[in-house]
Amino acid sequence: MKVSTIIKRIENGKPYRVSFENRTVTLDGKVLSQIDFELPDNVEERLLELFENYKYSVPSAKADSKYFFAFDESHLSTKQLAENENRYIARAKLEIYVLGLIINNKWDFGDKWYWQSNKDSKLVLFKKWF
Amino acid sequence: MKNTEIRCPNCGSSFLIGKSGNAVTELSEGVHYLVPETIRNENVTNAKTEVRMAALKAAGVDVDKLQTLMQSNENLKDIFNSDDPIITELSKGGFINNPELFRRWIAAQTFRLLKDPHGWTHAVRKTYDTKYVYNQSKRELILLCKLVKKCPNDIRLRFFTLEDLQTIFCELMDYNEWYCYRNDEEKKKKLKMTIKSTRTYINLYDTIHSINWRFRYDCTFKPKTWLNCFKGAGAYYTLQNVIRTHGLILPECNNMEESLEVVDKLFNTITSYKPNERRWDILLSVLTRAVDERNFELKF
Repeated sequence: MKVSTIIKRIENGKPYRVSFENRTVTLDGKVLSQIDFELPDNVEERLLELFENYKYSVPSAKADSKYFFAFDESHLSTKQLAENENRYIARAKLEIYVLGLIINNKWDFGDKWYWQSNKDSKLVLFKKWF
Repeated sequence: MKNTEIRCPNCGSSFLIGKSGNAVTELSEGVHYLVPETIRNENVTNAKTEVRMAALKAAGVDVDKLQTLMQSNENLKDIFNSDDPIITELSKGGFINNPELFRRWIAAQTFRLLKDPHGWTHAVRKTYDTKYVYNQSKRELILLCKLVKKCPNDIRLRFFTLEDLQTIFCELMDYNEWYCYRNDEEKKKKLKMTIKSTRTYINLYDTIHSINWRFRYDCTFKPKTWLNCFKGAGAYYTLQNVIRTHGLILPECNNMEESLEVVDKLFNTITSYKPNERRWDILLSVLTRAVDERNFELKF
């Protein structure tokens, strides 16, 4: 199944769950077997884009992700609140992309057990996920 | 005023009104009142009305008819054309119905609650009790039964939805002290199941009307879902009224149109979630931020 079809179904209202430990995505109660990840060449840029989109998204009563950081609604201005995406959908895009990186093992840690970006200090990836 | 000298007939003393005395008048005995010229004259023109008439004339409106209206007691229909739909409405009831602007009293209620130093929710918890919650949600139910038939696309249906009302009455059931249900937990469970199995507003109203409700006089329990929906409805209607009529502009906007667009987009993002997962307090935070930044005061 393609990533775009998964996100379309989430926008229509189906629940989902992503876990890095089991490396699975459950859509509407069923575990998906095969997913086509379309990873671009510049991996880091796309990660930063998706993380910024998730950080400034409009929250709801649903829980935020336990893997990444996001702002409260008091840190957002009125125009950002009006124009930004739902947090549930932005979280799906981020986590599925990182799942693609994990399964294809496309990250270089070196000797450290974590990686922190230079441009955004809140974006951290851990070695135990990979 | 004109320059006049007023003289008493008995003793002959006089005093001046105005700059220098040119004319002399004698007053008879009794009490006299000084009346300014503007009230005595009929063909008076205030500075405000003159400015407005000049502006209307420059825009191309017929100003002579308005003058006759202001000074005489003629009928509307004799002056203007009776084919105009606005004038027929005015002659019937005296005011024009605007479907975009109603529930203006909600603006007064929210601003009264926002004066509390601890916040809006603290004020609501202090002033209202569970009896108010029950009555308000029941009134809303009755209105929504009628609204669904008339205009099913109305915005008022999105705040207190069917699922919200079901959860509100189920949570109120725990504090119901009718003598038959009081210590019977199984019966309360059955009634909750009947409430949750309804599919339309009318069915819900019938089930709730068949159940007996009674609350303690000092019960102040408020369900969470009710607070959420109440916050959303209050914030939305106050924002609409305050932006359109009282002249509030949101912080990063320049116009009335841009601020109304912001409110619409926010409303759409919040209602894209299911009714259990909506956070209406974001709308209220937009209101409080705008009021703090622009130093806004509600004046009528």
